[in-house]
Amino acid sequence: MAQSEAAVEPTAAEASPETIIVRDLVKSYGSIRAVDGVSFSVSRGQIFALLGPNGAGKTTTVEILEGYRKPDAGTARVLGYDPIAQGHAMKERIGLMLQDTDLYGKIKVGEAIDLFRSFYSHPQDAGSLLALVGLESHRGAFFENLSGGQKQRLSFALALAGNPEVAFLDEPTAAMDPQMRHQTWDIIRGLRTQGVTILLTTHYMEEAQRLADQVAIMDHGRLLAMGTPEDLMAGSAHDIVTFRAPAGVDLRTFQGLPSVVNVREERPGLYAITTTDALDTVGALSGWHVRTGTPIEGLRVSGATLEDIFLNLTGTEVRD
Amino acid sequence: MKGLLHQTYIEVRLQLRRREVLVFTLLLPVLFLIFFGALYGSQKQHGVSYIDYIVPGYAVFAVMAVALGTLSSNIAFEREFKILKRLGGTPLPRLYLLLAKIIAGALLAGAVIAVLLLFGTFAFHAHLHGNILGSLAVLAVGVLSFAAIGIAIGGTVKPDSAVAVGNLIYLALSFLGGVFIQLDQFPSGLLTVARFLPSEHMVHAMQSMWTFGEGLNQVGGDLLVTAAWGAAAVIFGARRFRWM
Repeated sequence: MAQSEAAVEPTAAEASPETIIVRDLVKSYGSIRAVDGVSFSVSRGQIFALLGPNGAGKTTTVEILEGYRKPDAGTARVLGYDPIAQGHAMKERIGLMLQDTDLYGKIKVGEAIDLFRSFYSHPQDAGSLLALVGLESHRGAFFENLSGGQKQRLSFALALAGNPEVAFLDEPTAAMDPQMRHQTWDIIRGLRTQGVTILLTTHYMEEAQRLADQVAIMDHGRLLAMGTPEDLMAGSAHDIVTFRAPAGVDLRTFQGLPSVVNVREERPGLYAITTTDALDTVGALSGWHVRTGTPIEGLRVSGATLEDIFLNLTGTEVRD
Repeated sequence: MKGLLHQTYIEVRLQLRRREVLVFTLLLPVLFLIFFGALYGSQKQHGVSYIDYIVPGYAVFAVMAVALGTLSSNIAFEREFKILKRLGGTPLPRLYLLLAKIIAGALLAGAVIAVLLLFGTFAFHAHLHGNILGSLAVLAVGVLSFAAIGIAIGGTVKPDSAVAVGNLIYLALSFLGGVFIQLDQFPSGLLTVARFLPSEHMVHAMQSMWTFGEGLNQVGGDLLVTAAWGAAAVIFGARRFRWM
C-alpha cells in the first residue's frame, strides 16, 4: 500500500546478526497472560524451535512476530522491522506457515503457487517449489481433494514462494506421516544452509532435538529453559537405567539402592530407574543380582532425553 | 499490482467453479427474466412494455446477488477457514484483497447483465435506452455500495450465519426495491420504507435511464442515497471488520 512505502527502512541496524529479536514480550487475552515476559533472539541462518504443550503461548509469540497481533508490552523485531508498523515491507522478506493450512477448496495446487508467487517481487520458481514438497504430479488437483499431509506440504511451499529470509513455521509437520516429516526436516535443513532463519513451533520432541540449533521450552507464557538440545540435556544430572527382570519385584527393593531418585515398572518385567549416579546404582544392582540369583537382562544406561527435560520443566505430558 | 490482478483472476475462476454460485447468483436473474418475460413481458403499463421495466430491475438484482449475497458469504467463509488470515501474511495489501473481490464481482455481474440485455432485446423485444458510459457509472456506484454492505456483513456476522444474513438482506432489498413488484403496487407504509433503501434507488435510476431514456443528471439523487449506504457500510466495516 502506498502509505507504507515511506516506512520501509528497518529501524534497527540491518547488519545485526540477529534476524529475530524478542524482548520482554507480553500479550494478554482477558485475564490470561498468553505471553508473559518472553525474550529470545535468533541469529541469521539458525533454526530456533519453540517447544511446548498446546496453550503454552507459542503461536501467540509467533503471530506477534508475523504482525498478526499487537503485543501489550515489549519489543518484537524481524530483520529490523517492527512487524506492525513496517508489516508490508517485512512481509516481502518473510514466509510463514500457519497451523490452519486451509485455502480455497476449488483452487488448484499450481494456481495457489502462482497466486502466492505473484505477491512477491522476487518469487521462487514454481516448478522447484512443487518439486521441493513433492507435489509436481498434483499441480492440477483441487485443494479440497488433497490429503491433510499434502495440504500441509502445499502450505509449506507457499511459505517459501517469496524466497524468504526468515520463515515462521507453526507446527509444520503436524499432519505429515513419518516419512514426509523426515523429508520436511531435510528441506528445512537445506533452507538453513542457504542462510534462511527459521523459527518453528512444535510439540514433537524429536523434531526439536533433531532439527533445532536452539530450543526454548515454553509453558504458561514463559520460557522455562533455552539452549542447544545438547546443552539442555547435559544440564540434567539424571540418567535412566532400564532392564528386564521377573515381573512384580517389590519396587522398594530398587528404591533402596544408592543414588536412586525414582523407580517405575513400565510394563510387567520392564523396570526403569532414574538415578543421579548410574555407576553407583548399577554396581549395587549387580550385587543384588548375584546375591539373590534373580535374572537381569537387557541392562541399559541412557542419558535423559529432551522429553525428560521437558517433563521435568513443565510437569506435564505434551498436551495435544 | 501484479498481485491484485492475479487475485482478481483467481476470484473469478473460483466463482465460476462453484455450482451454487453459477446457479443461484449468475443463472437466477436470467431464469427470472425468461420466466416473467414470457408471462408478462408483452403487457403494457403507462404505455411501456413490462419487459422494459424488468430488465433494468434484474440488472440491479444481479449486482446485489453478486456484490451482496455471494461476497458476504465468501468473506465469512474465508474468515472462518483462516484464508483471509493467510493472505494477510503476504505482501498483498488487505485493501487489494478486498478490491480484487469487488472487481471480480463487477465482472461477473457485468456478464450476467450482458446476458439479460441480449435476452431482453432479442427474445422479448425490449426497447431500452441510455448511453453506455452513464449506465456503467450507475452500475459502478451500485457495485461499490452493495459490495461495501456485503463486505461489512461478511466481516462482522458469525461465519455460520453470514450466508443466511447475506441472502436474506439481498432478497429483502430486491423485493422492497421493486425488482419483482412495481412500487406503485406497494401499500403506502411499505413504500415509505422502500424510499430509503439503496435497492429502490438503484432500480429507479436504472429504469430512469434504460426504460425512459433519462440522462445521468436525472438520477443524481438516487446515486447519492445509494452511495450514502455504501459509505455507511465502509465506516461500519472499517471499525468492526474481523480478518481472523
